[in-house]
Amino acid sequence: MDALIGKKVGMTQVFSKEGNCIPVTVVQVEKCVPLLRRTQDRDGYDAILVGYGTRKSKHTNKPEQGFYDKVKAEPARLLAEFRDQGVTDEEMGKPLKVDIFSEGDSVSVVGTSKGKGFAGVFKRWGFGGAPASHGHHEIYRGGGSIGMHTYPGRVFRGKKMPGHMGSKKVFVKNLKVVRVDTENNVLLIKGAVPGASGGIVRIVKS
Amino acid sequence: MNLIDRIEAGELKKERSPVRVGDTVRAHIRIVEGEKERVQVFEGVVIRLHGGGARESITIRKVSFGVGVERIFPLNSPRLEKVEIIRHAKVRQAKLYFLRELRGKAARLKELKPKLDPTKKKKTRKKAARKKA
Repeated sequence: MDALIGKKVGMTQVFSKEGNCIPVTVVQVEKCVPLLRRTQDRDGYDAILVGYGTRKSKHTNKPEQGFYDKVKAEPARLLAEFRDQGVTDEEMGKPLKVDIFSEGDSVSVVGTSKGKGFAGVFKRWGFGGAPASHGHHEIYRGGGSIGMHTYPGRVFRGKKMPGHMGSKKVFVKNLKVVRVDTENNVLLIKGAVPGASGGIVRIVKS
Repeated sequence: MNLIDRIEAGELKKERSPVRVGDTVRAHIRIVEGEKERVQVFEGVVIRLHGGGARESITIRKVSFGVGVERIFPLNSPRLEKVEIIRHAKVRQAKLYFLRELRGKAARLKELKPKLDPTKKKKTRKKAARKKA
């Protein structure tokens, strides 16, 4: 197994042996249990189904409870799959430890970015806007023209315009693991990780 | 104690230097040049304390050959050997950014004479109370 689900706790800094200051994101793995095996024969692909966190039984409906009874596990906050993982039968049903990673490992992190609401073209696409003077007025943050004339007579697909920004899945590759704390089941990952503090992130060895 | 505080507790130095804003200090910084290691001293006025816990840092300002130089030191950095306090000054702001606009005599701070030790004062009071009784 070389993948985990964790919770982003927040950011801080640590010092390296050389005395360099390293910005780190604290990711806590509370309870991450491999529950079920997806196999090539039965499902058409190999994967491990993982349950993360805990959920009260009163919040679990009967079909869900039935599934958890079948795999003999407590209800989890969420379920996720990781493709092509080597997990022995012994490891199934036991919480994963962060020591599957070691210091200096390169990891990819997937999270849900912070929602920015309905954002204009400045924030959403980095447009430069219109000049502040030389006769310009009332259009300082506008996006300008969105097309040509009778030909093509339409706005091209994918034109950068205002709209909803953030709350999207974001994939960050090649972040370094700075420290592995098996006692608290905590990983310190160099740099920023997508999403707000308290958000759920997937961590995969890369 | 939340998780981040616990991680930061491991980064803290044994003792926090008692440095305050307005102090004139001598910061001893360990510098590695290739294989050699030496200690460099940066002397100036602390114009800002920033952050807390393991992230705490100070900004030291000095005027070198007529040019203002400011350096920021993380207080818990292993490269910062020690911060030697030369004198305290009477300051009424938390950030002394106004020093940047001042030159020469105008940029001086009034020295703060050390007060009587407050711990000793308490003792004498207790003794006096005991005598009365």
